[in-house]
Amino acid sequence: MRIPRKLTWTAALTLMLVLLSAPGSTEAKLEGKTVKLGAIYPITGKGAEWGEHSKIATQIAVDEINKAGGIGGVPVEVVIHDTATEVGQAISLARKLVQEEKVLAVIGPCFSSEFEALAPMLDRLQTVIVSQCSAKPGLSKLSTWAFRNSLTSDKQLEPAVKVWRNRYKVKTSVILYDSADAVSAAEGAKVLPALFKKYGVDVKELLTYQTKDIDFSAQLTKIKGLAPDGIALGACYQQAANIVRQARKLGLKQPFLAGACTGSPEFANLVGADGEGSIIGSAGWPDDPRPKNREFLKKFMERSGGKKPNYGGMRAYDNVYITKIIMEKYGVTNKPGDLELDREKIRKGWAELKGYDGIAGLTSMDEVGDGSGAATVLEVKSGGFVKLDQ
Amino acid sequence: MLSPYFEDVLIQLGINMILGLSLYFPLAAGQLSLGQGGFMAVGAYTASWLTVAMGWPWPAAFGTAAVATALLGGVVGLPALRVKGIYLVLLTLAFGEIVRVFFLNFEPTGAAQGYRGMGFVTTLPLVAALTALTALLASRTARSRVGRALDAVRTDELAADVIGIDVTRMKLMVFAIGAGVAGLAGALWAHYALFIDPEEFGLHRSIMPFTFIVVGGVETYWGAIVGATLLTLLPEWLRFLQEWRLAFFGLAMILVMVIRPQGLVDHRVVHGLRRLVRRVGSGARSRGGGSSAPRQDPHTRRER
Repeated sequence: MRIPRKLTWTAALTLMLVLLSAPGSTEAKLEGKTVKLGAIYPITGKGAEWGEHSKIATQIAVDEINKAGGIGGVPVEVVIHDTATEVGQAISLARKLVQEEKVLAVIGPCFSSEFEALAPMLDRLQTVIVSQCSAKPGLSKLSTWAFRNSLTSDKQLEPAVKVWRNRYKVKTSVILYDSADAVSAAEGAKVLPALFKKYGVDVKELLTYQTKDIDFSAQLTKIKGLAPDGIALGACYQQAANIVRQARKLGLKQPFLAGACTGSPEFANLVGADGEGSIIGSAGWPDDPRPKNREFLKKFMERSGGKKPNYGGMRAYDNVYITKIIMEKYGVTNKPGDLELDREKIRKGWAELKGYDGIAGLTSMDEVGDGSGAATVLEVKSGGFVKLDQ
Repeated sequence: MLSPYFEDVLIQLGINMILGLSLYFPLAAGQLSLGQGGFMAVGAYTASWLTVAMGWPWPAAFGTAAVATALLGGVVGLPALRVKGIYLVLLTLAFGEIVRVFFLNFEPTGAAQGYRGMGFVTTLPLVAALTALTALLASRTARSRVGRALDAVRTDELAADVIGIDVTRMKLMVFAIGAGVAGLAGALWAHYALFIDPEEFGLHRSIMPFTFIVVGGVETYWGAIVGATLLTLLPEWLRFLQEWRLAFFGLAMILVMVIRPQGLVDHRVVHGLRRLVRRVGSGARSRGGGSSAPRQDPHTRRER
């Protein structure tokens, strides 16, 4: 059969046009031997679990990216340092990464106290830092270079409050919170009361404890006397688990609501049957059944000795990928002479980030540089988390 | 030029040295305080509040913070006069906790949310100058008549009283000076980290200067300086060990305790070094400058 010449030409031209306009083919390749990123995680100290999860997740992302050809054809290297959850070390390590090791961007720090000390320095360092867990409201606005791919606790809690109120018909509540932990105290004293007011839940009483407490019977007995419809916690998972278990022992049957710091799979593990039906506002769902999540979970559990990641780990993984995409999209060259330009491009990329579909859900940056969207409402069910519709 | 990372480490080292020296003062009169973290918190919050809320220039704020902390130290020191040894340790420990919990609930300075807004004041030259000044104060105290009186109070309080030393005044004075110095360290820290929260000034802050002195040596103020240097830099040098570095760090500390229970630096080391320096000096100038020789006498008697 003869194919008319005209048709052959048309087909060839069309093919050329398609190839030329295809994304990726016109992108400039990066230069250099490696693309260097930095990370500061609290691998020891009180934040050890968060840091460890972030570290494992980062390494998984780096291995995957390098296996698939690196960033713009250049392998990526992430220099990970341990802050020991100490502010002083976070400061000196951030400067070490930025000024000595010349990294293009820094992932971390995890804790709000570290982030709050670093953020004012960034205008001088002129380099992006992206926290993967910090949840204290109002910190990213401290610098245009400060980003948090996490949800501040008000964003994590709002959908959870709605679900909790509707599901359990909660009209009155008490709030029990850790007055010694910055994020928990903010949740207990400010975020939750404001949300309860907005959604018509009457706060009967605010009660407090301190991080190291192990016995909560005094507060729980008081709650029993007040007989509210629900109990809201501003607590980290270790204490929250203790509170829930002790409450059940005292015969309290109210449903619990908790926020950012309980979003660890360990919480569901620790509370067991006592925690059934508790509602958690979180920034990531470790058991998400989407294929890429399953793939990640499998790799993570292989490296962590069977532990499931908290949202810090999930978002650290996303952070590496987002940085990769930004570098390719905004034309980072990775030339030593372009370091300042490249850093500015990465800043622009983070500031304009919209709708990245990562393992923690859809992520966008709001106007101050905080993550928005993808707040997850989780329910504790048979030792794990189940995601609820909002 | 120094690398910025090293500069940061040096700034933190300087602040740690000042903190270590703050404990040297009460220890010179035999008083062990585990409340230095509390004094540091008072200094940090006072200085920060003065620069942020009141808009004071930093020298005035730092000075006021140090003096205010010293006065508070005097007040805390009063009951401390009646208790000794382990009871004093407990009393100061409790004081440190009171301060931490106070700032945890004190709304004007942000309570548990912490306090920020300080300007960047704490540069390396400033820290170096203030560390040198504190060391000079310690050295002057140790070598003066007061220093010998403190030696006497530490070794035998009753005997010191009998020979006419005002034991009460001595103890109160060094306790207050120590508190003031810790307050200064706090002011410097606050204007370096630019964000402070009460958790930073918990028990671990109080134990820090204690470990500096235990490792460095209790006998002279050089112990605090050497201990602070070693314990600040060692974890940085051990960074290549990653997760194991703190375990290794602990092991190194145990080894020091086993091999040199009196600490790394005692009078013998200081004098040995001083003699060495003098010998090198006299080799060039052939004898001279023996003016500081008699000063050694009160110390050498304790070399067994």
